[in-house]
Amino acid sequence: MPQRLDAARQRQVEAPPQTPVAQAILTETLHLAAIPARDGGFAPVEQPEQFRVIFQPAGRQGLIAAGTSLLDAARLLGVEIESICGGRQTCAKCQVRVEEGVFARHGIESSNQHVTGEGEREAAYRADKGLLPGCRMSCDARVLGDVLVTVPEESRAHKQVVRKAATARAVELDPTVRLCYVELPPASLEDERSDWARLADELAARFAVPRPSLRIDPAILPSLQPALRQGRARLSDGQIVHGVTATLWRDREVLRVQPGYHERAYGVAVDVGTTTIAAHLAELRTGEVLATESCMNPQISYGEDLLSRVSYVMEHDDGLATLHRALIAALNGLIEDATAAAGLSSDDVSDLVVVGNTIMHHIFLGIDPRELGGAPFAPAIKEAVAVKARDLGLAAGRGATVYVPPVEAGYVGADNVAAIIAEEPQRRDEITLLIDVGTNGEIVLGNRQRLFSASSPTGPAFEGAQVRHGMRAAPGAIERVRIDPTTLAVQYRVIGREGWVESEVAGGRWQVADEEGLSAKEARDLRQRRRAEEQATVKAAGICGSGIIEAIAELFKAGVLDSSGRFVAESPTPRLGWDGAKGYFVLAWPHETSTGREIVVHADDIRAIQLAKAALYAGAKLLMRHAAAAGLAQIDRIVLAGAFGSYIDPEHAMVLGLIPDCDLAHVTAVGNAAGDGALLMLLNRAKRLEAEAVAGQVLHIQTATDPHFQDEFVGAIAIPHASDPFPHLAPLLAAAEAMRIIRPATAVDGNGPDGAQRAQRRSERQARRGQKELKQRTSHEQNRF
Amino acid sequence: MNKIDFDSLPEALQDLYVTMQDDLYDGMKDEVVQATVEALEQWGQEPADILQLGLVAGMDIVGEDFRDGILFVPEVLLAAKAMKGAMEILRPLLTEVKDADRQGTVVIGTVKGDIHDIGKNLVGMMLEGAGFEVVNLGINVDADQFLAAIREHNADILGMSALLTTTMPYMRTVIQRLQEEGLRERTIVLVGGAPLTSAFAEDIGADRYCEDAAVAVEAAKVLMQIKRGR
Repeated sequence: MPQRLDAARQRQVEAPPQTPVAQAILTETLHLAAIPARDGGFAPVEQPEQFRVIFQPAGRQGLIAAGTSLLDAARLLGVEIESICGGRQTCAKCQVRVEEGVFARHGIESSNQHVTGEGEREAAYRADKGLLPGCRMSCDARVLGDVLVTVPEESRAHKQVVRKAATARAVELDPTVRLCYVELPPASLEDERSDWARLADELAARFAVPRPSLRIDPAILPSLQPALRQGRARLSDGQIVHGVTATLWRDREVLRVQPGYHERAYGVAVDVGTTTIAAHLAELRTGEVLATESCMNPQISYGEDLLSRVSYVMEHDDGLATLHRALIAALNGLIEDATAAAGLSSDDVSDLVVVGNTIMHHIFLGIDPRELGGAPFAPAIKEAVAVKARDLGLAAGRGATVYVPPVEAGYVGADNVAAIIAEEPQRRDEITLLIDVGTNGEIVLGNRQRLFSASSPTGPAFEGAQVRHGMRAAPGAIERVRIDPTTLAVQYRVIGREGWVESEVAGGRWQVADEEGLSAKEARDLRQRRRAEEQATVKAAGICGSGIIEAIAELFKAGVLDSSGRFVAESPTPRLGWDGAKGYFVLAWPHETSTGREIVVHADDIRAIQLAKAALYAGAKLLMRHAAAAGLAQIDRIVLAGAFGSYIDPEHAMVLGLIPDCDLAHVTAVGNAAGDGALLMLLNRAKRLEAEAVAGQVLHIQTATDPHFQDEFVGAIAIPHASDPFPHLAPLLAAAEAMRIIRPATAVDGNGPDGAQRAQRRSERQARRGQKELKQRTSHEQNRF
Repeated sequence: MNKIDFDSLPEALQDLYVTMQDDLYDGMKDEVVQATVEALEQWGQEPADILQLGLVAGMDIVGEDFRDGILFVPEVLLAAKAMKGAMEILRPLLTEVKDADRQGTVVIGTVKGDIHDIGKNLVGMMLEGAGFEVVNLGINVDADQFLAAIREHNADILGMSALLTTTMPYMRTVIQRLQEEGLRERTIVLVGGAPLTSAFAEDIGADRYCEDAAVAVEAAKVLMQIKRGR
């Protein structure tokens, strides 16, 4: 029988041990609950056993007391699960799946036996209305052992908002498919040509296509004669004709024959990201984007990053098939949704372009990616591939083709080629640095003379992973941060909420910005409206990648962080706290958040971001070395791409030292360049030729084995950099430096990071250093005389 | 091993050592080298004493502050480079070190299929800082190369690094080879790298998972003591 515990008691022990704030709460409550032992000391109350609970795909985990419901565990760990009934087994919105098996990566064995069995109400609901396959109500399943829990999309409280939008770019329309309406005379005894021959002859005659190379996709042959029959019409002059519209691919293959006249053909461009998939449905004749749909990459369930997916393939016999099927199912879902949104069906799609990194590319094409899992990272193919959509199981027209652009290297994929097509560094005299920020950063540098590319393993920190209160760019995520350098007051923006939120100075009521210049009544109305909104609007739940970048850059600008990435202990603000010797800075107080806990930027988060940005910067620097050797000395413009890139503020990226120095006016964020490039290749066939040419010209640089990589990487860990100058940021950097110098004089108290002993050691060291310099100066002066 | 009582040293020499530690902490290579020469030539200090009282003592503080998040990779590398500069002077003089004074010999490398270098190099430098002899085999190292190096240098410790989930299983292969060739018993196996966990280390039969360079040094020291004790 499960051990049921009262809620108050659970709260004492449920706090996940890895957050400093939670730890502080934990210590405090334990202290309160401590009872005097016989010898007069204190002994903590007996704690129930704890088990490891891991939530996927959020990747959150912690130790949870036995008897806690999975729903409560999720809340404690900051994983948001929808619940309308609040845990009464009534709404069934909170369903989760407890995974079975040993998960070596997490070091646990998970099983449905590790949660309590189905209660009466859940069983009744399942019998009556049914639950998702293999799922439990998280409010009914209580922890009895280690579990790995998957939260299906349906149960997430904040469904993913994926911001991959097609930007408007001028493109000449020249798709690979075109529609040809022809009218054929009825078959007769005098004309013994086949129906196909009569169609082909007419196409050749009227559309200037070479007859000998004209063919029809055999798979659509069964539809030919029915289309002709249906297209039979009597013209005004009484003549009988068969009017059909042929969809012609590359002027040589008929992919579809529709009865009657049609003038619209449709195509789909897809960017398969490691985390996100985005699809654009376009009308090929007008170039109009009719619908854009996106979803999470379902392969996340099998591994968050690329390499863990390759591992999955290596470790499971049907691993490749599983990942391939999951991807195809997701793509089909997107195609169905996009066509339905435009009032079409997936049969209307006659052309597709799919881009992705090399591992996604391989899995999409059903190629085992294991060779990409280790050096020398050899792809199966680099050249462009064209296949029939039906061969991959894609939901599209029977004859539709899929074009997959070439890849450059094991970690520079078709998505990078697509990004180049969108940004066109190869057509410019100015030298472009194109950085695609993501889990695997891809960098291109060059101009019309030369192009270099590299990949940098940045890790998932920019996607909000490996960050204490990190989350993806979904409602509730802090996406922008401003810190006043003088007062250290914090403002932030939350996705899904209008305007800036002014975090309170300390304690007290919720405050709202921009009341200035309003009359008393207007201000009151505004406040009232805001209060009402507040009930309905989103509170901060975590920080997404752009939020953490801005937070760190702002902390540095305000002098709260030094160049090495350490918190300045003397910063006069109650927001700075200490977890041992590691600092953390409070962005949002508990009552401002949906979790009821502080949202902080922790020293460990800063270290993770420092490593990630150093990898990108070092990659860019290595390319700059190669470019300089080829005569391309400077950088004229920087383009930050990636679904994530559109939300990085250029100045913050530069202050952090994610990108090299450049005139800020020439730094732009372009969003999903890879998706845009795919769309361009869908709309203009010349772009495909260009992609193939460019992929052959780009010189790929293997950064990890470059003898300079280590030095470049280590130098780039500092904020913005240990030695590289940033003249375009000079005033800003000087101001930050000044704040740090001023601070010690205004220190409020000795809330040092590391206890008295170490603080003392540091001050002694500084004193000795001072004496030594004095000595040297004196001896130097003596020498002069 | 005769321990030197630091407090019994002349005050000026104590100052020299403390300054050497401070300069090491701040990664000031020239100053550390200069102080090493001064200790040797003007004070006639034994190379082993300079190593222990100046360099290793200084690197201990660096390691501690790295572990606690006060110092980060760049600062540690600078300190390690300063130490290396001083070691270039001391190493030729340290050749006749008694066995008892040896910390131990470590063979390290990034496993086959993996080309990530920096974390492993940091571990190597920190181990050198703690007085270990380090043989760094570089990247993409296969089992044969590891085994050959262990034999050649009569290594006490094998340190393997992997940064990819796809390459970390190769560590198991190397450990199996150690076993087959009868080297496992006498070799301490430490493993590290971002995707690893303690559970994985245990599963493949390693002695210890080291989450960072500071932990690696501590583990190396502790396990060497246990090994010596046997």
